[in-house]
Amino acid sequence: MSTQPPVLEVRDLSVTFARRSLLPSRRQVSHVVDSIDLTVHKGRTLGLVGESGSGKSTTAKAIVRLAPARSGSVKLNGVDLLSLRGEELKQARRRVQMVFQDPYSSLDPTMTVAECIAEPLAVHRIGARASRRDTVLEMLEQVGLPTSMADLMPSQLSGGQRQRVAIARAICLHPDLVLCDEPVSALDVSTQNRILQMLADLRSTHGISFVLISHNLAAVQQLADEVAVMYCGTIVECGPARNVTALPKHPYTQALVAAVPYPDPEVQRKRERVVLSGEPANPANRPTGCVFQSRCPQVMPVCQTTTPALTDDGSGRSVACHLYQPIVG
Amino acid sequence: MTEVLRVDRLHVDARVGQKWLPVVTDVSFAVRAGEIMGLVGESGSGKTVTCLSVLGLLPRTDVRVRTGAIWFHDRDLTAISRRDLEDVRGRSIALIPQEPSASLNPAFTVGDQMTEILRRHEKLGRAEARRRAVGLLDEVGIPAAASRLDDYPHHFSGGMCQRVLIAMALACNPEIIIADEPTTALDVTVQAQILSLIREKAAQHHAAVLLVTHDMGVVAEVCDRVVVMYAGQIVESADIVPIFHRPRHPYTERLLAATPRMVQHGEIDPPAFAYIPGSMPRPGTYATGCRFGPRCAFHEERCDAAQVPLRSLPEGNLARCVRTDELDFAETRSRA
Repeated sequence: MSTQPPVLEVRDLSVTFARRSLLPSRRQVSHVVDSIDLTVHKGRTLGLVGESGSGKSTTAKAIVRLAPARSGSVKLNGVDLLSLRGEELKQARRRVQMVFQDPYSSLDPTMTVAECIAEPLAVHRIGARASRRDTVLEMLEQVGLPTSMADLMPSQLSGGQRQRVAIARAICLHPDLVLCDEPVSALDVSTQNRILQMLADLRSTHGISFVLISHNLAAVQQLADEVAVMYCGTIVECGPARNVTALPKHPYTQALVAAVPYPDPEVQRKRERVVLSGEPANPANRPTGCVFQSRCPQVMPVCQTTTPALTDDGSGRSVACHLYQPIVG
Repeated sequence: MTEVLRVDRLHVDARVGQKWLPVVTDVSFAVRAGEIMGLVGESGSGKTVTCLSVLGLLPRTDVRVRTGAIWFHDRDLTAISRRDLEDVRGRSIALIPQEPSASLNPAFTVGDQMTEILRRHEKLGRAEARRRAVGLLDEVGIPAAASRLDDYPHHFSGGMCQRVLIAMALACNPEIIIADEPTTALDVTVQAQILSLIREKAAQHHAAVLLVTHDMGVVAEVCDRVVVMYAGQIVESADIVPIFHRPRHPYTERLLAATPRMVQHGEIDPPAFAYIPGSMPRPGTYATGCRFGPRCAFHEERCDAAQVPLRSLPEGNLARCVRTDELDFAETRSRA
């Protein structure tokens, strides 16, 4: 692993959205993603966690260049995707695929299941028509769907089945990396677990690396090897999944852990926990100092003046919080 | 506690092509004032159809109540005129919908939509309705309520839209609040806020709440009693603590095992992926015996012999399983 470059290496990635206006006073720049670093090694899974508006989906879109990055680099197997154009970019994109949240809107309703799964093969001109059909049937088996479903329309499938089709479509090019944006949050709980189990199986059989995006830590903790917690466009905590979920350090991660209800009424109702009040900070109007200060139960004066740096605590875990670092200034 | 709502042997059919197929079979339950009852099940279990029947909001051409009654105090909602129903709905029976941002009209201000209810049901004048609307927004925790009244729904986040909808549900002091997956579309952090708001307001207004969800974690957080549905039938009903500590139907047990939870202090590994093999049967394809039989780990031949009745158990709960007295899930649960 040390000799090979990581499958994904994101450095200093920033994405900004600008509001244009004739009036200078109404012009605004939102730092939706603010110089973040991420690393995913072969066959590993990174859980990217945060609330709506934290920038996690934009990060994924910037990685596959569906959103324009302002600065930074996104290296896939050592090649910077942000510097590629035209045919080179198209070829590189074969190696990275995406699965979206809502399987009711991510599949074309006018295409059969087989056409849908084969579309990436056609785009990249892989195989003849006839052999594509075989690939489709093989993919259906891989995601645990009967091959008889190949000629059905998406409307004839349940939500869980649709999500399996979306995953089959993502893996049919044998990518190195699959970005899953809330792949299970639109599904029933028992279906969620089946999809996650399937991703775990694909990871071990194909050695695919995953980035798993979710607002719910419970949904990523089983699958993720590493977890990165995002808030207002920045990473506030990251490290090995077990450490981060079992003993969260950043007050925001602690609140995310506390927000997952425990399925036992007696335990749940006795829990002493921090329920976050208020709304996430607005990336268009970031405070000076720590981005989490307005909702932090442990806010200190220094948090209002100095931005805490993401600092490694020596065990591979990094936290951006003044509680854990020598106070500067 | 007084019973506010009683669903009595409700059967609902849905039209599929030329045929009418049963989608809700023999569902009976009651909700009392001041309690939160969870109606739990996955897609296709009939939970949403059941609560739309209570609201009289079934699409009439495709779904209809075949037999049964829905008693609101001493009035049968399935038998009263449309006009009478319109006076009850929105006033005495309120709805908190699933998708907050899709449930408000984007072309009208939040104030317009709130005052509409107050003027229609409470016959208030314009100024008085506005005054009351501000009070309601304030009550559900919207900061600077008076200045938000003229904002449009797109000015509010998902969680804030849900607060507005809760305020609208509370507008006429309802006796029953039906909350259909009220937090499914929200972040977990906002879910915790909204659930505690629903619980607090229901207690304050002494309203009965019917909370529809597929998430047993949500149930553990707020409900007093639980009804579990599978393939159009009730399979188990019980008070909140017994159903979590000793589920009596294999479906309930699997649903609990599948509920995501955080790794607890002292545990080494996160909980494993538990799921139910197969999928929810479509209407018209239900098994003749136990409808859960084809997916059940404890299935035996006699489960298929005849329709399984919903039996009362000594502890006061109900379960629809022929093997319930012999099954001990403790072992499967510790493995899970």
